[in-house]
Amino acid sequence: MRSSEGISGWSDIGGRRFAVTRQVLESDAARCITGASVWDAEPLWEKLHAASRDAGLNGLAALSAVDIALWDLRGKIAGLPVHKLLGGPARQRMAACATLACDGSHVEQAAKRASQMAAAGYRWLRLAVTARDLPLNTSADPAIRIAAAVRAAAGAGMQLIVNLGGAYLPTRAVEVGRRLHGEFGVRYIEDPVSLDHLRELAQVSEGIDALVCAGGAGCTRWAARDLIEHGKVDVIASAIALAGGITEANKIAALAQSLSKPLMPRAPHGPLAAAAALHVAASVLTAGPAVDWPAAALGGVYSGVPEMQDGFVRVSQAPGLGVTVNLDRLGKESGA
Amino acid sequence: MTASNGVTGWGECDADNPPLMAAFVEHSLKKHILGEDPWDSARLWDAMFFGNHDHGPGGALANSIAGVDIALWDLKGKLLGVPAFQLLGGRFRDRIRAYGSFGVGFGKKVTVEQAAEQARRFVRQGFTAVKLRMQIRENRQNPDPDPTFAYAAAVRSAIGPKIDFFIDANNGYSAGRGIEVVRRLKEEFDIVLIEEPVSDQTHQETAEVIRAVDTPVIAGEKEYTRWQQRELITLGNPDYLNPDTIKAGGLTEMKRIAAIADAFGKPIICHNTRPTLGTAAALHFIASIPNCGPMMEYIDLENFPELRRLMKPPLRFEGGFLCVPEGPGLGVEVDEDAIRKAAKA
Ligand SMILES: [Mg+2]
Repeated sequence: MRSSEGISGWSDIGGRRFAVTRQVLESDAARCITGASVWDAEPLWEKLHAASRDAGLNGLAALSAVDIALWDLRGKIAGLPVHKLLGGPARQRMAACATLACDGSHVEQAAKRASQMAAAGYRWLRLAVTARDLPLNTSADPAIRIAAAVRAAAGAGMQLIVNLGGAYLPTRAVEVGRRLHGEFGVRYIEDPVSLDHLRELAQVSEGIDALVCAGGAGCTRWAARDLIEHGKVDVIASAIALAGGITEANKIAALAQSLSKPLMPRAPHGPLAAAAALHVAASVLTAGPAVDWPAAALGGVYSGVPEMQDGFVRVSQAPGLGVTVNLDRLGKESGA
Repeated sequence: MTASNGVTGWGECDADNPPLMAAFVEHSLKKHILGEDPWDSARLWDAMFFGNHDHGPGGALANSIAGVDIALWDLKGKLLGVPAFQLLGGRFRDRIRAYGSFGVGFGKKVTVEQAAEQARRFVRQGFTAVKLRMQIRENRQNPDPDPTFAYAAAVRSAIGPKIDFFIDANNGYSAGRGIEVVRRLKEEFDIVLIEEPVSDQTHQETAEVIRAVDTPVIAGEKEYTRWQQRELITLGNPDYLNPDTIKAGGLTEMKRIAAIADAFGKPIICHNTRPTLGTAAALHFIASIPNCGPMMEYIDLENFPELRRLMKPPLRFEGGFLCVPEGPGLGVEVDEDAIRKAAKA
C-alpha cells in the first residue's frame, strides 16, 4: 500500500484461497481505499467489510491485509512503532510460540522437530493435529499418540497448546481433552469442535480442565462475542491476518477483557503478520500467553524481524511494523 | 499537561465536584503520568486505574482519569499535528445532530412555565430534539403525584409536534410503574426515547421495561468502565448507551466501550452536559466510531456564557448540528487566564 507521499505499508496475506482474496483486494479494496485518508482505519474497515462480506473468510483476509498495511503506513508516517499508536506497551516482550502440524502419519518426524524447537529455545509449542476426517471421531485417532511423542521429545519444560482442528464431536473432544491435559500437561485445547458449533464448544469447555480457545480460524468482534457468550471459551484467539487485522484485534481485546477473557494473538501467516500480532500482544494488557513466531524469516526477503531470545520476542521500536520487505530479493526468492 | 518540548494538552474531568477531581489528579494520578511518554496513553490508563483500584473503580476514579486521558489525546494530536479523531481511528462523520437538554429538579428548581420557555428557546436556537430531565431519582421513586406529566405537556405544546421530544426519568420508577408511565408518555406526548426509567443499580428492571414498551430505552451515563457497560448491556439490554467522555475514563475507555457496544449492536448517544473541552472530546470520539447513535446531548449555550469564553475557537453549532473541530489534538485552544479568572470568581 502506498501513500501519496510515496511511503509504503506492508502486510502478509492470510487465508488459503488467494484467488478470492486477490479478487477482493483488486476490486473492492482498491475501490474503497484509493484516495482515502490513511488515518481512516475504522471507516475503511467498515466500508471494506460491507463490500467484501460475500467473500467470507477470504474477504476478511483481504480486509485484514489492508488494515495491517495501513497501520504499518501510519506508523511510518508518524515515526512511531505500531504499538505506540495503539496506546503503548503493556509489555516489551512475549513468549514465542512454535507451530508443528502432524496428521499421525509421521509421528517420529514431528517428535524430532519438537526436540529441535526445544533446543532452539522455544518454550511454547502449538501442536496442530490435522486429523480432521469424515466421519468425525476417526477411530484411528492419532491425537494421543502424537501428543505423547511430542511431549517426550520436547521435554517437560515445553508448554503445549493442542489445536484439534475442529475434528471432534463434543463427547469425544472432552475425552481426548481430558487425556491431553491429564497425561501430557497440555495447557490449552484449541478448536476442539467445528468453528460454528457454539453449543458443542460450550460442552467441551465445561467438560475439561485445560483452557479452551477458539477464534483463530477467523472471527470478527461479533463472532468473538458469541464464542464467549455461547461457546464459553476461556481464551479468544485472534488471527491478525484472518480476523480483520490490528483494528479488529483491538476491539476483540476490549470485548474479551470486559468478559474476563484473555486474547491470544495468532499469526501463522508470515513475518509481517507475526510482527503485527506482536505489536498487538505488546499493547493489549490481557494478551497472551504466547505469540506465533516463525522459526526463520524467509531468507533475505524480510529484514528487521525480531529474533527470539530465551524463548521470547521483543517488540520492534522501529516505525510501523518494523519489518522491511526487500523488494529486490522478493522476485528471486519466490522464483518469479 | 505539558510535554518536555513545551507542547501542551488539555483535558476535562467530570464537572460535578471540581475539588474532588483536583485531589484525585494531584494525589492519585499525577505520579503515574509525570516523566512518561504520552504515546503510552493506554498503558498509563491502566497504571492510573489499576494503581488506584481500591478507591472504587466505578466512580470518582474513572471521572478523574477521564480528564488526564483526554489531555493525553490532545497532546498526542498536537505533537503529531493531526486531529484527535485521526488517532482514534479516523472520521466517519464531521457533524452530529445535537439535542437540547435541561433539568427541572423534580419540579422544585424550574416551574412548568419556565420549562416551556426553555424548550421554546432550544427550538429558536436550532435544536431539532429536546430532552426534559425530570431528576426524580431513586430516593423519590414512583412519586405520587408525579409532576412529569404536567412538564411533558407543557414542553410538547411549547415545541410543537415536529420536534423530537424525550424524557429522562433519572432512575425515578420501579419497573412496573415505569412501564405504565412510559406507555402514557408515548401515547400522550409522542416521546421518541425514554432515559433511565429505573434504577441503574438493578439492570434486570431495565430489561423488564425494555421487554414491555415500544419506546427505545437509553441508559449508561453512570456506567463508567467497560465492565460496567458490558454488565448493563448483557443484563439490562438497553437500546442505546449514553456514556459520557468526561466521566467514563476519557477517550481511551470510551473507545473500548464503543467496541463492546458495537459487538452487541448498541449505538451510542453521548451524554454531555458542558459546552467545553468535554464536548470537543466527545465530538472527536463520535467522529471515530462506527456505532454512533442519531444524536448527542448538548445544552443551552445562553445559560453558560462564561464557560464558552474559555476555549478558542468556540465550538460550531449550526442548524441543530455540532461540528467536529478540525485542528490538531482536540482542535481548540484553552485560554488559561480566562480559566483562572473563572475559577476565582
Ligand atoms: Mg440522564
